[in-house]
Amino acid sequence: MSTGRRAGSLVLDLCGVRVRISCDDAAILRQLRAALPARVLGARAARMQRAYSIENARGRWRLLVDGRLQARTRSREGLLGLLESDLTAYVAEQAPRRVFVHAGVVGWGGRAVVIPGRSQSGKSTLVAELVRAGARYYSDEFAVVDSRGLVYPFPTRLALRGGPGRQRLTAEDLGGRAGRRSLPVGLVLVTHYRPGARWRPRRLSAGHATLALLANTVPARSRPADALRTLARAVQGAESLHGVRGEAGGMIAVVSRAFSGRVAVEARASSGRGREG
Amino acid sequence: MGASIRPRARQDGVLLRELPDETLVYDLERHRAFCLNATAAAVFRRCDGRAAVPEIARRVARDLGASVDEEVVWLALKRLGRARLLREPVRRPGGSVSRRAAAFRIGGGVLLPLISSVLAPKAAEALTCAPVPGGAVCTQSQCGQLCDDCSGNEHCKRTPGNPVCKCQGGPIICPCPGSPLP
Repeated sequence: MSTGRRAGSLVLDLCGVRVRISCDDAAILRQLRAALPARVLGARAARMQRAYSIENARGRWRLLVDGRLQARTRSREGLLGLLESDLTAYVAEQAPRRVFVHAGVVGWGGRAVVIPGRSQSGKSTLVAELVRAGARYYSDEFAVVDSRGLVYPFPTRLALRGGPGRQRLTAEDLGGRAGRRSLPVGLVLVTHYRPGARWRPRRLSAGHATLALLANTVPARSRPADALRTLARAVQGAESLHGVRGEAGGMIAVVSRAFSGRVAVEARASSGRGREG
Repeated sequence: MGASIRPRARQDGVLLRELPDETLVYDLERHRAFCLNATAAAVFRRCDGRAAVPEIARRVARDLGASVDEEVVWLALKRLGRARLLREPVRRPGGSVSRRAAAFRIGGGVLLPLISSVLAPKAAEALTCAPVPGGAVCTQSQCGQLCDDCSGNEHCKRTPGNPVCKCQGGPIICPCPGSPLP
C-alpha cells in the first residue's frame, strides 16, 4: 500500500471514515500518523469525508475543517490535540459498520474488558493499571464494536490526569502492549472511582448491561437500531458488574476472578498478575 | 375488574430487541431506552388492544408458566403507562395497585414487573471533553479549565476582578467536540 504522503497532506482511513489532513510541516504529519489508529491511504484515494487543514501564521496555529475555521491557538501541541479530538469525535459518529461506545477497553485472556463511562469517571486510570498488570491496551476512549459484537482496538494515546496536567501515554510507556485483533466481550465493568470505596458489585442482566453501554454510545440517537442490536449482541455471554470502586490496583484481582468464573458479590483484594488479551 | 379496558402497546415510534429473559425497547420520539424484565415484557407483548386485563393475566401466566394475578398485570400496566410504552395509559378502576399488594399475588419464580430506562445521549454528550493547554476555556460544563492565552485573542473577555478568561462571541474557539460552531 502506498504511503499516501506527499508534501503537505496525509490521507487516512479510520474505521471506514476517510479524511485528508493538509499541513506543510512534515513533522506534524508524522506525529499525527503515529498518534492516530488509522490506515494510510494512497494520495489519490477517493471519497474523502472530511478535510483538515493546519496553518501557521506569525506563531498562531489555525485549524480548519472543511474550509471553516475551527480553532486558533498559540500552542502547537494544543492544536494537534484539537485535531485529534475533533477527528475521533467525527469518526465515532460517522463510522459505518461500527458502534462507538465511550469506554476504556483492555484485552484479558482473549476477551475484552469494557469499562463504559464519561470523562472523569476514572476509566483511564483503571485501564492504565490493567495494562501495567499485563492486559493488552485497546483504548481508553472508545469500545469500537461491530455487528457481531466484537471489539476492535482504537489505541489513541492514553490520557491520564494528575499533577500539572494530562499525560498522553502509549501502552509501551506503561510497560504493556497494544492489542491488535478483535475480541469478544468477556466482562463489562460499570463503575466509577470514589476514594476509600469498597468494591461490592452486583451483577447486571444482559438488558441492563446493554443500557449501560447505550448510555455512553456516540451514535445512540442517530443509529438506535444499529446500536441496540450491536450492543445486545456484544454483551451476550459476558459477565457484567456494577459498583463503585476504590483504587484501581484493587480491581486487577476482580478482573482476574471474573475470567476464572469465580465472581464474588463481595470481592476480596489479593495479589496476582493479569494475562494478556 | 377492568373487563372493558383493553390496553394496547405502542408499535409506532419504538424499536424492540428481544433478549432471552428481557425485552429492550427504544422510544424513537423521546430517545429513551427501556429494559423490561420477563414479567413486564410478557404483559407488554399481550397488550394487543383486543384482550382485556383478565385475559392478559391468563395469557401471561401461560407464557411465564406460573400463576399471575390481575394485580400484577395492573402494576405492569401502570409502569408501562408511566414509561409511555402504551398507546394510552390505562387506569385501574378503584385506584392503582401498590407494589406490595402485587407482590402477594404473584406465583413462585415470577418477578414483579420491572422497567429500567436510560436516556440515549446526544453524540457530543457521549464524548470526552478535551480542553487544551494554552487554548480557550471549554464551554462544556464538565471541563471548565482556564484559558491561559487570552492576550491578543480578540474573542476573550476578561472581566474585572475575574482571572478566568472565557471566550465569548465571534467564532467560538472551544476545543471540545460538539461545541457550537459559527
